[in-house]
Amino acid sequence: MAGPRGGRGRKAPAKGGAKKRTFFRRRKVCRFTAENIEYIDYKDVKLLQQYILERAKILPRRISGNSARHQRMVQTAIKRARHLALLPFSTD
Amino acid sequence: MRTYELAIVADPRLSDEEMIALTDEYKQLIQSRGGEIVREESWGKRKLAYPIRKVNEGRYVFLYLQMEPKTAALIPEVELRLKQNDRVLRYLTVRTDLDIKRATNRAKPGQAIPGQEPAPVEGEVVANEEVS
Repeated sequence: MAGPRGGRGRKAPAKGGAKKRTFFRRRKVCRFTAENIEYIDYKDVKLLQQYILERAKILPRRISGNSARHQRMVQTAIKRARHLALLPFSTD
Repeated sequence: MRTYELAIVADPRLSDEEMIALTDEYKQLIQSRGGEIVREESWGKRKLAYPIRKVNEGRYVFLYLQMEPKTAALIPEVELRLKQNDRVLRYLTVRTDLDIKRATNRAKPGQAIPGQEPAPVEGEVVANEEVS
């Protein structure tokens, strides 16, 4: 699976209601793919904090737009950081 | 050659000298078994994201190691010692050479992209010349 990922674009509103409402959804781009980042460090707390929700859950890929590979890297980095108490497991 | 990262979170009640003694203990163990310490990083005292053993702070130290696959057998031993040391709140060893290798291999095709950018610009220049 090499090459630029342009194919999986967000389609224009396909189902009914196309006449009335047109949704302009900004296309989500994986930040790490765009910036050519190949390793996500568990010590980079500032970066990882952007990928945890208020309750300290990991931000889903559906929202962040991360590519699967980079989401996996974020995931392991967050889990490592949690073990070292750099990031919380939960907040109340 | 393998590279590892060893993170140690120690009790904040240790003094600076005690902390140095503690890290030295592990550094000596590693070096005596043929491991090499490439770099050392100390974050000093840092607030923990959650309390560990009723302590809210920790002293963070990171050791970057390098060794031959043969000597890598010392890693479990270091981990065992860390586990037994009650002044160590947390530790983490991560093998990094594979990730670094993969990152450098993957970076090559990415570097070709900036070189391709000038091409369309040249096309535009030619078009402009035709107009004038």
